[in-house]
Amino acid sequence: MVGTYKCPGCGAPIEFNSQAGELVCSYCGTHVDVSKMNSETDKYDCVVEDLEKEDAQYGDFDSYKCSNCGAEILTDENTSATSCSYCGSPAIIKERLRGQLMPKSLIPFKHNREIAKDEFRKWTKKGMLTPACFRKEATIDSIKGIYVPFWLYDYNVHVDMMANATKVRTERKGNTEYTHTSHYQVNRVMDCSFTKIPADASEKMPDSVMDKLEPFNYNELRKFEMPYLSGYSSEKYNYTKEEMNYRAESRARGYAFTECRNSIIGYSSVNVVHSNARLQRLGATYSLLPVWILNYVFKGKQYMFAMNGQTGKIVGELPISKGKAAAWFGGVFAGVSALLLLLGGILG
Amino acid sequence: MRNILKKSLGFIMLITVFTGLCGYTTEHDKVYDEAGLFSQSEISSLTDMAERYGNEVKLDLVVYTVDEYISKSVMETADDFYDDNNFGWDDCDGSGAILLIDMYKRELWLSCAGLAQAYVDEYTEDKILDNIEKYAADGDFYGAATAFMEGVYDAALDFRKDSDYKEILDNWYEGKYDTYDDIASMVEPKEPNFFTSFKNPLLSMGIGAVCAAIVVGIMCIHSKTRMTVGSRTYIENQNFPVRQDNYIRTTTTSRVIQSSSGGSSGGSSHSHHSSSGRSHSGGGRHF
Repeated sequence: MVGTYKCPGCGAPIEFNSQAGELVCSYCGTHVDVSKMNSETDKYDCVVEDLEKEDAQYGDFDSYKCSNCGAEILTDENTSATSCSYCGSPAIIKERLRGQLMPKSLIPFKHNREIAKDEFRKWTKKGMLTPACFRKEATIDSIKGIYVPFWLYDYNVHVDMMANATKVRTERKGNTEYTHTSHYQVNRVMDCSFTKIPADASEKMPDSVMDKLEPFNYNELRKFEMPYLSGYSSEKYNYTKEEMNYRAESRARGYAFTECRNSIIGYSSVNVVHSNARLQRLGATYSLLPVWILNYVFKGKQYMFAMNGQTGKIVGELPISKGKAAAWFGGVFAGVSALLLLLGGILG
Repeated sequence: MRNILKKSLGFIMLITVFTGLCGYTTEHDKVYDEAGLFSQSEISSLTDMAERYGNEVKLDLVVYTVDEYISKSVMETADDFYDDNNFGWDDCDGSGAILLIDMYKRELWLSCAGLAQAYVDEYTEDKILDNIEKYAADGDFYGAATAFMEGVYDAALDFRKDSDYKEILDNWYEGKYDTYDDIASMVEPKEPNFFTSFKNPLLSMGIGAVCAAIVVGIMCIHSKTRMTVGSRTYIENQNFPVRQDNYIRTTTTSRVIQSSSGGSSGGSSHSHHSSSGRSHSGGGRHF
């Protein structure tokens, strides 16, 4: 069933306001704290007659009835929050957030839609190779705030490493040069833990983009409450924690080796002969992290622009204008060549 | 009869005066091909070239090839051939250059007299000889002779363009000096430095292209976003129960450094005096 949170003051649909950090009614201005909203859910949740879920005929899509206007809402099987395309009311699909599917925590959006749009506009103006028309044409209205499902993994790692290293010193006596090479055997054993390594659990979100949005500031991680989702889209996880484990574990392993290797310092050369890591998975929490997403098409190619909804870090690929690239190439080539020829002529 | 005699005498005198104006001390061939390395057309082409270049930079250019054993060194052979035959431009010291190709000894020798010694300093000489050697090693002696003439011609042009030497050149042609020895100390060999290599357009353009590629490459990478997390982002409680750096042994190698012969300071000449007493500069190669 689809729920919409209603303002206790005027009954209009109420959304989470990132500036205020709580729910704010855009009609009457009433502020309600998230936890208070949740506890009074039954009173204000205007879910009407328990409407069934119709699927099957829509294949991958499920259909719900909007609790505000009664229109049909189509969602795919992973969406857990969205907005009604007719009346714009936030629609939260509660059964996708219950039980096992309930996230443990989330980081609320810090930047609102206006700021996200602004940032996108600013970003399109950057880049020395961006085609001029891109800056003007880019469509920003369809920017969407999504809570992306993540698994946050904790590991303890134990690393054994052995390396052969050398220190080289040269000395000159008269007209003979002596090279002294001191050989060392280096051993390291390192213990450490990694907390909350994120792995995005949504099939729809490309990992390459999600990875680059990191880091999120976990200090603002809050216990999950449904009202946070009001006004945003959200997904439940596609991949289970077991499925994503390999990805997170590889990262932990890689980081551990890097850290251990970086502790071998002060040598002219280091050759790692043997290394081994033992991981112990402490647990994985299901968490929702805020991301602003904009999918756009430019000159036939699809691009995704993403912005970390908490830190504001932007991930995106600016299109490259071949014309501008060629112009830069030509300019630098001509300039440097001319300069060198001139120098050769004058000072050579 | 008398008329014809008078006319031909006049004509001969005209020619002598004309060649005298041409500038060579004596009228002579430019190519002495005793080893038979060149075809007739090559000889006439080389002669043409020698006269054209020579007239422009006021040098007498000669090519001499031998293929029988000569007891003298190639240096002496070249110098003596030049001096004995009175080659040279009609200036105070018979400026010119001769290339000797000795097929018996398989050696080349380039000898410069008069002003040519100033035009072709030790560094230029090396470059020209390297060039000639390449052709000679391939058996392309026509190419070698051409390389010789072009090399000396270019060197002469460079020197004569140089404003620093304008005064010396003017004085030379006015006869203020007796021999090259008088001005030897005033000429500084153009030691190549770091910037000389940039004169080569291929090198300069190559570097230009590489720089351009790097700049555009950086701009392309700039347009893509980078990972901001690393091994330290999620790490906690890091400690090292074992941390050993065990010294094993030291090995020592040594090498003797050759002290490189420094470049000669400006002013010291690389000329010698030939048997006739006149100064020549020169260098040779085996091929």
